[in-house]
This record gives sequence, C-alpha cells and structure tokens, in this order.
Amino acid sequence: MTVLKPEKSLWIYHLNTGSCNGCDIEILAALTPKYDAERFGVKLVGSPRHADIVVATGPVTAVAKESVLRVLEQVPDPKAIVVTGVCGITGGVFRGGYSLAGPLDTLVPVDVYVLGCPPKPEGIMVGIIKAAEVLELKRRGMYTKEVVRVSEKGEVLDAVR
Amino acid sequence: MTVAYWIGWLIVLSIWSFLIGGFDRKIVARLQGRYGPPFWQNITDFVKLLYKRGNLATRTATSVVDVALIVGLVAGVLAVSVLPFAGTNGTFQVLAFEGDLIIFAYAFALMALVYVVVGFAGRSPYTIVGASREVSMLISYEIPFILVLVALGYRAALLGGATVNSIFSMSSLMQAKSQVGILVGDPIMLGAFLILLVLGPAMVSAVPFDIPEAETEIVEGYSAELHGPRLAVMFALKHLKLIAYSYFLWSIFLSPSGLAWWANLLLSLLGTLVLSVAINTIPRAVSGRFRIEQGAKFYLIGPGLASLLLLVLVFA
Ligand code: SF4
Repeated sequence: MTVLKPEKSLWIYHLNTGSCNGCDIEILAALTPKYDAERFGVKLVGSPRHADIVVATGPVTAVAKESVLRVLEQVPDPKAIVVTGVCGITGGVFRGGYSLAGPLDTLVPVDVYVLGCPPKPEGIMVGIIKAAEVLELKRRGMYTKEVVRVSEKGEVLDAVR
Repeated sequence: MTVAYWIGWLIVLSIWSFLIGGFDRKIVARLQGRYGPPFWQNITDFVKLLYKRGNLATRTATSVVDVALIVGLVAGVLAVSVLPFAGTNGTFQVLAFEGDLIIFAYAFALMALVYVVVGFAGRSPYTIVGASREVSMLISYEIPFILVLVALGYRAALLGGATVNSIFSMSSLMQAKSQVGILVGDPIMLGAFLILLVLGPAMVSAVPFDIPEAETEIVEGYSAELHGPRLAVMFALKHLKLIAYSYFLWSIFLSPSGLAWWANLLLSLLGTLVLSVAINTIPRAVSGRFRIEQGAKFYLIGPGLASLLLLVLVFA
C-alpha cells in the first residue's frame, strides 16, 4: 500500500515570520507549473489546521513571535517544519537586530533547513520531500530530531534520521 | 441480498468519487502543461487526514460540528440511495416511495445546510463568512433547482401516463424513460437537463461558484477550523455531493434503458465521470471565481428565469 502512504499527500502552509519576501517568491515559484510540486501531492492550504508541513521564512520578528507560536500550535500532528533561507536559520543579514525574537529553531523544533538567500525552487522542493521522509519517521516513532540540511540547489547535506 | 448489493454499490461509488476527484486534478494539470498528481491522489489525501491528530479551537462548538457531519453523511447516502442503480434486471432502487424526488432535493439542501452549520459552529471569522456566503448561494440556486424538479416531474407524469400524485417519484421518471428511450430526447427534458447542468457547479460548490470556500480569500470557508478525521468527512462529503449530482443527471437523463447489469454499471461509472468533468473540471480549468453577488445574480437571472419559462411551457 505504498501508494496510499500518508506521506504521499503533503499539504503545506506557508508561514512568513518577517522575511524580506525573497524566499516567499521562491516558494511560489516552486508551486508554479514549471516545477509542478503537485505531482508529489503537494497542495498549498490556507489554514494551518489543514497543514502537514509548515514552510517558514524569515527570522521571526518580535512582533510576529506570538502569532507564529500560535499558528504552529494549531498545526495537527504529525507535522514537519521546513525553514527556508538563511535568515530563518541563523538570522542572516538581520542577525543581532533589535527587533528579532528568533531564529525559529530557538522557539520550536525545526526539521529541515534549506540554505540560501534565497534558495532556488529546486532546493525548496527537495526540502519538502525530505520533510515527507521526516513525517514518515515521526509516524513510525523512529525520529531522532536531527535537522536535515538541504543546499540552495537541492543537494541533501545530511541523512534523514 | 439487497442490503449487501446496496452497501457494495455505496462503496464502489465512494471510491469512484475520490478517483473522479483525482482525475479532475490530473486533467487540470495536463491542461496547464503539468504532469499533475497521480489519479488516486484524493484517496491518499483522505487516508492522510484520518491519521492527523490535533486540538480543535476552543471556541469551536465540537459537538455541533460532529452532529452536523453525521447528518451530512446520512444525507449523502440518502441522496445516492434514492437514485436508481444498475440491478440484475435493468435498474433498481433501494429506497423507492412516492415523492423520492423531493427526498433527493431535500438531501442536497441538507448537505448545504451542514456546511452552514459547520461554518457557524466554527466561530472563526473565516468559517462564519463561508457559512453566510453558502446561505446566499443556497437561496439563489435552490429556487431554480426546485422549479426544474417540478417541471421535470410533471412532464414525466405526462409522458409516462402516471397519475398526478406520483409526479415527484423516480418511478414515474423511469416509466417515462421506458417510453421515450433516452429522456433528453424530449425537448422539455432537454431544457431541464441543460438548466440542471448549469446549476451543477453551484450544487457541488465547484469553481467559479465555490465562493463559500474560496481558499485564497477565506481559507476554505466553513472548514477552516477543522482538521484530521473531521476534515476527512468534509472532504468525503464534497466528493459524495459531486458524484450524487452527476449520477442523478446520468441516471435520469442520459442512461439508456434495457442493458445488462454489468454494462449498466460500467456505463454509469463512465457517465458520472464525463458529467463531473463537465460540471466540475472544465469550469475550474477555464474560469476564475465569481464574487458572491455575481454568483447570486447569475443563478437568479439565468437559470431562474429559464426554469420559470420551462414551468410555463410544461403546464401550457
Ligand atoms: S533568506 Fe534572504 S531572501 Fe530569504 S527571506 Fe531571508 S533575507 Fe530574504
């Protein structure tokens, strides 16, 4: 029954925590007909309650922190969080700014990092596919909370464990 | 025996409804030059939703939502069960009684009301806006729908020679069909079929009339606060509605009579696929979403006036 695996249906929720909008444009590019994310069962949903994977961008500003935490709380389990762009991973160009409350992994556990500023759509797609593997491990109860890094061009730098 | 046959038929239809949803996504993807998801994608989505666990919003009235969803499922099963299906000798109806056409219309309105109740029970701005939009759409498409059913029943009684007190029953429609062959051959019936076809997208809440669940504006409207198995039931209800409506159109108007049961079954599945592509997929692929007042105006002026005309023609 591998074709009916829950991980073949990935509903993603796009969460902007205060990014420069560069990564958001690339996420939308990954959903366009050229890259056709729907062939992996990916669908963009508008409500966090419908989501399996949260694709987050941005360094989590102080204003956005409360809302981000509330949104992530609403996502039903099993869920995976993909952070795209270096500013979501380390703070990037915004690091040390007075208005930051993040990056996101200081607030909630993150499963996949997609490096790059911004990453290419290929990188984001690979990040989502890796998140699907993370979801499968979580469903089986075999997940060890190791973060998977994906380069901006889509090379996988760590194994999913 | 009948019960086993009926349950089997329900299972086949519900699996087929998910497959139709998958074909829909595949066809739209191909039209856009994409590869698209596999055609069983909607079954995967349904199974996935059953696995999800989380907390509902504290303000959501959970018990109301649960009761509404159960009522919706019962209404969906009822709508399918009053329709004639392929039996060992011709067609066969599980629930046959006088006025079953009204039960069908009632079940459809009930399914729309389930959306409304779920929306208001969600108590989030998105779900409430979705529910109130569903109410306005319901008012605008229900009037032509009922008028067409009246015209349809009366015409069938005239054609089949049934008595006036059985004008709202499927059996008189079947009787008329056995006389005419294929029911759309009759001009009044053709008119009714075309109006029902135009009403289709609103009945099954497909684009351009999916205004109550516009996912880009009000994040799926009434189901915005649901997740997991409850959302799965909502998802199934939507598919059930689509297949019930297209199977209604197929079995009343288009299906030929006097076939072997297996030919009838295969043709039914094929016919519902073609009709649901016409109702759901093609409008979705070629058009964007209307605004609510455009949708309401469209249905009251277009099919509304057409159904009044049809009624006048029938009684004239
Ligand atoms: S990683 Fe770069 S492109 Fe992406 S949101 Fe941050 S600053 Fe913008």
